Amino acid sequence: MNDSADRVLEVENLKTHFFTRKGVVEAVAGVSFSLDRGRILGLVGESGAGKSITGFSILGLIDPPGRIVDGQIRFMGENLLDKSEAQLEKIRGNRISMVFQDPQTSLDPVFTVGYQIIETLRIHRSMSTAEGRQRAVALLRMVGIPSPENRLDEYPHQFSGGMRQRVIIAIAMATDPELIIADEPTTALDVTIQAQVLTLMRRLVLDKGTAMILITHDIALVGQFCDTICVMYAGRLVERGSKTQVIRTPSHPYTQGLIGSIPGSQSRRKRLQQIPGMMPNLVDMPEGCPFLDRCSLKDAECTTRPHLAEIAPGHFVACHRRRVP
Amino acid sequence: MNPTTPLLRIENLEKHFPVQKNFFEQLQLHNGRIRRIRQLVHAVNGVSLTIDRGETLALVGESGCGKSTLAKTIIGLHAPTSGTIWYGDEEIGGLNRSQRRRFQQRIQIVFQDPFSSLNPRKKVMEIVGRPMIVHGIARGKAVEQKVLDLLAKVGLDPAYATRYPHQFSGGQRQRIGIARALACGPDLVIADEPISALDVSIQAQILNLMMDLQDEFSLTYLFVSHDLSVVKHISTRVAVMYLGYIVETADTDKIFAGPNHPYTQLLFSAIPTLDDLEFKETSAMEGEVPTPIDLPPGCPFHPRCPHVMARCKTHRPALRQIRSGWKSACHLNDTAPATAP
Repeated sequence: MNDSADRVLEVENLKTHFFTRKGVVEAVAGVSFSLDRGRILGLVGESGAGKSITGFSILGLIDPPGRIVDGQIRFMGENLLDKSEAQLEKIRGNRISMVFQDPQTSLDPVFTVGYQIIETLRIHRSMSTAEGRQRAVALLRMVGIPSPENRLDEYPHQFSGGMRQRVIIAIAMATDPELIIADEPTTALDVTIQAQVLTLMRRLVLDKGTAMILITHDIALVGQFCDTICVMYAGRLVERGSKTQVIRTPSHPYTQGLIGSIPGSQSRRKRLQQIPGMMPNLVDMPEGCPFLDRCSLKDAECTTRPHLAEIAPGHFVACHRRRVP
Repeated sequence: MNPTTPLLRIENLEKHFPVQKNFFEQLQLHNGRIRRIRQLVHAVNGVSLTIDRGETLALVGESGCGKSTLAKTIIGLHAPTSGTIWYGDEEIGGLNRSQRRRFQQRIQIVFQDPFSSLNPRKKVMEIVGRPMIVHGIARGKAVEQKVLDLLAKVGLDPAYATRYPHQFSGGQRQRIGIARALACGPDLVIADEPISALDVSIQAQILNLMMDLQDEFSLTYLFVSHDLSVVKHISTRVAVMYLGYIVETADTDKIFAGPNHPYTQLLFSAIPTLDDLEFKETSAMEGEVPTPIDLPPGCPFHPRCPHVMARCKTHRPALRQIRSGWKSACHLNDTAPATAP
């Protein structure tokens, strides 16, 4: 894991704030993690935890009133925050691709599927349309779309949700990127189709040695799919570690609550362990632990903000009262 | 009502919707000629089901399988195309609006989306109080007191009664939706994906609330969901739907221990769980849910089924008892005679 040649991404103390009329929203407030070749990292948290904004920040897709105010994003050793928009355009969609949640809206309805795949290849690989077409057929075949030669000339509305997400994966893989950021890629799909898309993505990523960030709210999914798990809460990383560490020995009270509140893992018809309250408003966050109001372990120390501390090799937790269950 | 009669009994219920809503939409150009076509969405196809007093029946399936349509037909939001719905000893599927009113009080619904199911122009007091006034349960000051009591029961500060829906979070709105459903003292509450729009930590709060309320008010639930871990936790019996057909019903313990129908098996194997952290590749990489417009002949699941036989393509298997309290609609059970549990 320490071989720097394999290091694809290093995010350090990333802070992305949104300057709204109601105040400064600290959507991402100091997030750090790193990712190696061929590894899958899961960013998990509830809506509003800042996981998607972290993904957008890496891609340089933060628009005003949002701004990255601090931190570094080193991709293959280079800080993306120092790059101009023109330089970023050469990286985005080429060396870093993205798979978004909604397969309905991330394809353009007025162009054929083939056109949209070939466009990527024309721009980033300077391929001719004929070459691109050949490659597009191969890509559609790779993601398991039957009779790709014919389907290339069809429009997105002629594809089902699962098939559209396969097309998007084909576009994302078209340029052999070093990093894929998948933001809730299967949330809009049915479970049996979700299983197909996940199996496909995992095969492709492991096969090509691509690094991947999976952004999701489903902790059971990251537990199976990812190597490393980062748990986000209110714009902060509250726990980071290998999947076994985070799932089997969750050490932040929020992670413990999340895992405990999953039904099905406990005896039936009993009350579920629940986390009281809800996530605080990200505008003008109070000093102290962001989880303070909902925590059952809080004490006087928790009014100062906890930082990530290593409690076992590779296992980091931001909690003053961290305990190993 | 005879105590042994099921609370609700559905027989051969069908609900079809026209794809083309009017005459002009039905006209299509075909080989240079105008043709009139009439297609139907076969949302619910011959469903028979009983719900016993006090149980929690979970209706599970993927999107488009007809589970929400079935729920809405039971509550009277859709008129059945054919078939009957019995509430106790009375048939309610064919009743008109005014005849139904009596039963509306007994059957209530909690909707999926807490953002669109509450009227944004009404205060919580009006939203929750309205069913009581409509059904003549309370009047004037008594309504207010009952609403405040109900809000406390669903875990909301009674002081919130004067607020509007937009002032609440998703979880709180769903509590308001539940309070409204309970306002006229129903026996049966249909919950149509009540927690799928909520965040994980809030889901547990609402599930706990629903279980508490069931005990306190002796409610019967029809719980519509695609989330099997939730279903496993809250339900006592499960009915699995596929393309408008019920393919399997059994007690929750039994069906999760060993599902009989190949579709149930596929569905159950597809959910990630924390029991095993190894990623499991799905065995069914091919295949999609067919459209309910052109139903496949024979067994609805045969185009995706790993065990498909010749007879599955022509004969639709009936839902029949394979063990006590366990029904499945699969030809595999024809060859293996039903065994005692």
